[in-house]
Order: sequence, then C-alpha cells, then structure tokens
Amino acid sequence: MRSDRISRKGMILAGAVAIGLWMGLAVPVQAAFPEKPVKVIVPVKPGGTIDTVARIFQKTIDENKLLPVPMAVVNKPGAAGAVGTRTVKDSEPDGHTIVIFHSGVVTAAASGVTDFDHNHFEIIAKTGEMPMGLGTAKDSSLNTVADLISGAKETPGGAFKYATNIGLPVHFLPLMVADQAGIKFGPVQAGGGVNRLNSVVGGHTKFGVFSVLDFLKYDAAGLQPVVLFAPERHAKLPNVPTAKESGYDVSWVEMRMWLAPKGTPKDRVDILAKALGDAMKAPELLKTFGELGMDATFGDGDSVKADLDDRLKRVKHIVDTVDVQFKK
Amino acid sequence: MEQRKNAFEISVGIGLIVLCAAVLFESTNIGPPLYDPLGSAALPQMASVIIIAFSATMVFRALRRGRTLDGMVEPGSSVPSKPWIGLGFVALCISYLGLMATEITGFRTATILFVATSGILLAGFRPKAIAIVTLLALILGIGGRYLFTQVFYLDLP
Amino acid sequence: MEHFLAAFANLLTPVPFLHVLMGTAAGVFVGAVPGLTGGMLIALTLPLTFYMDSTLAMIMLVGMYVGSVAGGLISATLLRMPGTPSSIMTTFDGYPMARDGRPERALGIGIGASFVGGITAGVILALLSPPLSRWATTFGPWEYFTMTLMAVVLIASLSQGSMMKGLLSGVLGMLVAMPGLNPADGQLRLTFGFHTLDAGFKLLPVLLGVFVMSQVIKEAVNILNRPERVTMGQASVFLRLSEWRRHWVNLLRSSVIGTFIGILPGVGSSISSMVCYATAKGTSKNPEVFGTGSEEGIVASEAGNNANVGGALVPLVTMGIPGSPIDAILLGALILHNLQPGPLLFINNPDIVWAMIDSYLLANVLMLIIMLFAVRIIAKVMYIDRVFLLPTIFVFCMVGSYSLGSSFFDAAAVIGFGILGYCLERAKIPLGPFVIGFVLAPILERELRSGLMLSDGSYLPIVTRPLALIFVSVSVALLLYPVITEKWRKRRNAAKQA
Repeated sequence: MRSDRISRKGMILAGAVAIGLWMGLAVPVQAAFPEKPVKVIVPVKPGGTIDTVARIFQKTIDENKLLPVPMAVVNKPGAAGAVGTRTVKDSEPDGHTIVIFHSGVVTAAASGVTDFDHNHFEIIAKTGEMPMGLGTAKDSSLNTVADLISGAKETPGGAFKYATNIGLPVHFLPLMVADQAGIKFGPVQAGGGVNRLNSVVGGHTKFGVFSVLDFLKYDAAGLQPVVLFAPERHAKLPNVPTAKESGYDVSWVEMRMWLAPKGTPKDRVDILAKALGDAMKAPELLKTFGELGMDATFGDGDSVKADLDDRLKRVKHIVDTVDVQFKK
Repeated sequence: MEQRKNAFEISVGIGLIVLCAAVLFESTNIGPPLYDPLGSAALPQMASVIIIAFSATMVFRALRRGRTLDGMVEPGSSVPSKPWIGLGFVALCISYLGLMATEITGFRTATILFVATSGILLAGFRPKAIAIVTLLALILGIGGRYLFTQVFYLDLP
Repeated sequence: MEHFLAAFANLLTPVPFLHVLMGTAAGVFVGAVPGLTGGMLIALTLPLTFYMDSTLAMIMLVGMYVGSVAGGLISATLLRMPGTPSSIMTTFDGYPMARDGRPERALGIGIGASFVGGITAGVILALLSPPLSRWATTFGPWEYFTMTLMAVVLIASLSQGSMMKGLLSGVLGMLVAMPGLNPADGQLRLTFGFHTLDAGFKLLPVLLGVFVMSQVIKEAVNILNRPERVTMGQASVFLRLSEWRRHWVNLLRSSVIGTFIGILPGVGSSISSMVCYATAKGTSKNPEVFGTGSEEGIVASEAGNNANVGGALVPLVTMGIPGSPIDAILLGALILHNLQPGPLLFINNPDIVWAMIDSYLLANVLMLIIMLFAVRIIAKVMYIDRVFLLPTIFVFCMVGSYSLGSSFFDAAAVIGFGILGYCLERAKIPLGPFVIGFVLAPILERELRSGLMLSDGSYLPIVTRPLALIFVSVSVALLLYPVITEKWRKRRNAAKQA
C-alpha cells in the first residue's frame, strides 16, 4: 500500500513537472487522448477467460491501429476480482487505466464482499456474453428444474444443497429460483468452475451454476445442463430449456465489460468504447469468441448501466428478503 | 555460539507471541459467521492461540536450557560467520527495492547499482572479484531488462 | 494407456523434448551447486513461464525437480555438503568413500540408485494415478479437510528436530495464509486496514522468500565458509551390471518405500531418504559400515529421495494436494496456468497430466545420461563463487515477484519472508511445515467450512465417514506417539532406578 501510494505521488509529481516544462516550452494545444499506452487491468490470473478476452482485444486493437497507442494488459488477480477492480476504481480518471470484468461487481457489492459497485465506475462497454445455467450430474436422477424443486420440497429447510462461490452470481441464481418457487436451497461453498463441477459430479451437492462454456467443456466429466437463464435457447445446447420455459422468470447472461474510474471524461470513454466496438468486427477476434463459446454482442455504457442497475436490484432483493445467511 | 543460537529461539518466540497477539486483536473486527456456522474468525484465532502456546514453551525451554549446554558446534560452521555481511546485504536488498518503488531509478540503473555494491560487499574488496562483479552488474542490468521484457514479456519497474 | 503413449510420442518431438532436457540439465546443475536448491530453481523459473505453453512449462518444471534431487548427490559426495537438502543422508557415506579414494564409484552407485528409484516411482505413478483420481472424485469436503489436517501433522512430526517446532512452523504457515479475502465466504479479514493485503500473501512471494531469500541471507552470512573438496580421479563412474547384484533387494525396497512416503501428502524427499537409510541400516548384515562409506547407505538414500519425487506427484495430479514442499510450487504453477488441480484434472486436462507423468519418466532417463557423462564437468563448475550468485538470485527474486501483479508489495514480501525464514531456521524451526501449512490452509479452511455447510453445522461426519475417520485417527496417533513414548521411557527409567 505504502509503496503504491508513494509511487503514485511520485508519478503525479513527475507528471506535474513534465506538464509544467511542456507548457513553458510549447504552445498549449488540446492534448489528444490517448497520449500513452492504455493499461488494461485484468483482475484474474493469466490464462482465464477474462484474460484471454483482454489479450485478444489488445492484439486486435494494436494490429488494426484502432487506438494510436498500444494497450498494455496487466494482471492484478486476487480476492475474486476485488483487488484489480479496486485498483482501477482508485486510479487517476484519465482513461489510461481501465479494467475488464463481469457482473460479479454488482453481486459482490450486494452481498457485502466489497464496498463499491458499478456506480463507482464509468462504464465503457460490454463485449461478449455467455448465458449461465443450472447443471447436475449425469448419473443423478435430477434432469429438470422440476426435479430440483421437488427434491428441495422433500428435504426442506435448505438441506437440498448446491455448489456455490459465495458473493458471485453463481451464488444468487439458485436463490432467485428458490424465491419464486417458495422453497429453500442450501449453498455449499466450492469455489471456481472446476471446484463446483467436482462437488456436483462427485455427488456432494445436488447441482450448481455453470456457464455454457462449462457445459460444453465438462460434458465428458459427467455434467449435464438442466436449464439456462437466457431469453432464448442456445445454439450449441438446443435441447436445454430456458428458465422461462420451465416457469421461472430468472435471466442472467454473463458479460465481459470494461470499466474506467469514476470521473473519466465522457469523450475519452467514447474513444475507448469505439475502439472496442470496432475490434469486435475483426474476424480473428470473432474466431476466438467462437472457441470460447461466447456470443459477440456489443453494448454501450448506458445500456450496460441499466442492465447492471436491474441486476443489483434483483440481487439486493434476494439478500434483503431471502434468508441467505446461515442460521443454526 | 550456543548463547546466540538460544537468542534466536527466544527472540523469534517473543516476536511470534507479539504477532499473534496483534492477530487476535485484529480478529475481533471480523464479522460474525455469515454463511456457515464457523465464520472467518475462528481459525485465525485458533492458530494464534496454538502459536502463542508453542512459542511460550519454546522460549521457556530455551531460557531454562540457557547455561547448561555443552559447546556443540553446527557442522560446517568451522569458519566464523559474518552477521554484518548478511545484515549489510539485506540492507542493500531493501534499498534496491526502495529505489525502484519510489521511482528514483528504473530497473536498469537500480540493478547495476545493487549488483555492483552487494558484490563488492560480499567479495570483501578483492580487486579481481570486483572487476567481475561490475561486469555482471552491467550484464544483468542491461541484458536482464532486455531478456525479461522482450523474451518473457514480464512487466518491470 | 493411449493417453500415456500419445503423451510420450508428443514428448519425443523436438520442442517438448528440449524443454524436458533443459529442465533436467538445469536441475542437475543447480542441485549440484551448494547453496542452490531445486526449490529455488523452480520458484525462480515459475514467473518466466507465465506466457509459455502450459504443457511445456509443466514438463520443464518436472524435469527441474527430478534433476535437482539427483544433482544434490554430486556435492554430497565430493564436498560433504548436500547440494539439496534431500541428499543429506548421502553425505554420510558418499563423502567417506570419496575421501578414501573412491569418489567415482560412490557417484556411480548414487547415479544408478537414483535412476532405479526414479523409474520405479514413475511406473507406480503412472499405474496408480488414474484409479486413485477416479476414487478421489468421491472425496467430499470432510475427506479433504481431514486429509489436509493429516498432511500438516505428518510433515510436522516427521521433520527434523522437535515435533512441537514442526507444528509451530506448520500452524504459522497456516496463519500467514489467512489475511485477505478468505476462501470460504469472501469476507475480508486481518488486513490491518491495508488494501494491498486484500488478496493476502501470494504463493510465489512466500515461496521465494522462504525457499530462496532465506538461503541467500544464510549464504551471505556464511560467505567465508568454503567447503573442502575431493577431486575426481580417472576411474569410471560406470558400474558393471553384475556389480549391482548384491544391491538389488536394497534398491527395490528403497525405491518402493521412497515412492510410498512420497505419496503421503506433504512429506518431502529428505524424509524419504532418511527412512530408507534407516531401513537399510536396520536390515543390513554390516550396519557398522554405515556412516563410514557404505555402498548400501548411498543406494538407500539416493533411491529413496529420487523415488520420493515420483511418489509426491501422485497426490498432486490426483487430488491437487502437494506431496512435498517443492510440489507446492508445481501446484502454484498449475493454478497460474489456469489448470484447476483436483481429481478432475485427469478428465479435463488429460494431455497435461500425462505429459507430466511421462516427462517424469523421461527426465529420469535424461538425468541418468547427463549425470553419467557430464558428472566430471559438473564437478568442476559447481564451485561458482557465491559472490556472483547471491546478487543475481536476488535480482531474479525481485523480477519474479514484481511481475506477478506489478506490485512492490509482493517484492517486499519476498524480503520479509526471507528474513522470517532465516530467523526461524536459526531458531531450529523447520521450514518445510511452514510451506505446507501455507499451501494447505486455504484448502483446509474451505473444506471444513463447506463440510459444515453441508452437514448444517454438525462435526459428526468426521467420525461417520470412514475415510475421514482414518485420516483423523492417523493424525491423532502421530500427535500422541511422541508423548506416549516419552512417558514409557520415563516409567522404564524410574523402574530401573527403583
């Protein structure tokens, strides 16, 4: 912390001196943005989906010269993304430091894991979506949402367990279903995708939330999709019903979105959004998206903000009304 | 020799006790259990208590043993050790990091300075070693920067 | 089997082969240089592999592991200074043999034993891992919780010195793993208000500090300490096959014991080699020669420590539990490359798992060749002046830790844990349990709290689930064993005096 603070001070000082010198020497003109490499913070470890997405954007934007400066991808992993997102939240709002993440920003805030949400950022855009859904073990007798509901009715009081990663969307989606069905599911902490897979396939919990990519990847491991929280069926999983078809109004399509610190000038956010939007037209980027099982949907800051506001409200409703916490 | 070894047991033990006391104090800020019956404070507190108990036993034993030990010498310590060189080396390590963290110098300059000074300290001012150390400093500083950023794509200060 | 062969075929193509060769050669060399250990090499190499292909990275690291444990033999024999901690038992007989004018034979025996130990373990690893990983998918939170508990108790009680200090070290390692957002419910804790501690202490800075920096400080303090050396003569390090005949029982026994001790979670090569050495001495016809240049001693120690490497890979690839402190780094490498360790690794990433297993076998073959043909060269160059080594190692430490998250906090943590590690060692507190405790604490806590969520707060599953009961019983027995033997000894002494 201390070193960070000193370095930032040093940077500001150096910057001030540089600007002073420059002002003295040159005729002041409007500084063009961006004037130095744009640092993209990836709040997860190298190699994950978010990291891959960030790097394909970096490559595409560099190669097609969509920004006059290169992008620099920096991993700041830790604490389910909270470390990296917090770094960017506290950065200089000049558009040169941005972060890529998913809707965990709002669920972490709603569940009290972090003390900031998307309103503490300027939203640049969303690039790419991936529906989430419930999955069970193939060798279990649970094949539909109705099976899960009746299972929870047979073992009441939250004894019907699901694998979760506390504070992230995968924690709240089953609770939304349970809320509408008037039953209780009991969360059991498992962690990331493979840990949840292990818990479900190993028979320790009954079900869990997974992404479409997970369903495709872990088919051999014995995972079967039961329902997708998407507006319509997915092209790669045509036999899996949507939540609406199963009678529950729960929708949660996971997205990859880009955030800048609060107070970043609107014109700079727009320049970045345009570069991202243009990059999404590049064929090599679309190819990577296909491999990742992601839909190449682009959304501007305002639409993403409205979406996130809505999600925050829905999660807050669950946190406030449903008994999410452990009671003896 | 023996006395100094005991001194390490005693000071490490006391240090650990102080550290765990601080942890115990800080753990009172941890919220109550949210999603499971145990909560986040239980295990750190348990660990701290165990460490305090073991450290106290270690300190107590070291104090009691203090004078009664025979002069057993560790194997391979026939040559006197040089705690001052070690201390100086650690101090140089910290200054090296400090130079980069405060952005007084970048990786290249700091590395050249560090390798040269620490090498001279360790070599005990042997002229031939100093010459090699200076060369090494230049190679590591300039070559290292190239190697790490261009070949391994690492981020350097 | 098809995976096994496919992975082997891939390993023999130039690029992967070169990576294993490079790793093994670097391992042998670093293992031989006194003051440099395999743990150091692997921890320092890890950051350089961030953007490498994950398979290539893993097989290179496995090669380093194999090479370094074997390479320690050279300095143990010629300098009476174990190049790596796992060769400590080899010094007892290797050096006396070398001093008595038979350094080549001592090395030849050690190299051969290393190879047999390694290959035996490799075969067991390849045969045992797939069924074990299938079985491990049925392990739930309670099994994992009790198993990690047992691992910490195991390494604490088997480490050198008093068991209390071993436990102290293990629990301290666990405590160090606790600040930041915890793995169970994401709550922040013990950050003392510093946001840099939100993610806690990361694995790499802690490993670099404890494994590397503490050794660097130790070497700097003892900079004047120069080992006596034995130079090699003209005799051959190649032994005739017939000369191995009287060692084969010992060889096989030590290899198997070494492998199975390796499989025990948490226990490292040095302990394997000690147990094998003690067994060989106990069953030998001439135990009095042990410690004065016994060939049997070298065979037991070297077969044992190399077999341990393969054994220790078993819990790593099947359950994601490190079999030794060095495996903790490999575990970190898997996670850094986004490969989630656990029983499903075999199903989700069979190519990587089999590449690791096969590269282990290949590395043993390469190790044999490198050691037999290059031992003279290594014996000449292993006396690099530490004056040049120590600053270089430190620069690598700083680069590795900083590049992890572009944070000076991580780099500072390396220095801090280096000083801590040095002080702990001086207070005769072993560092192995610290590392194992640090790596296992998050798993232990997560599984315990998941288990409690699953059982709605009841601890009963510890005794009702058979496997959990076995693990807990072993842990309790290990804890009570020294206390009880001590009581018996006192009672017997009292009876004698009466």
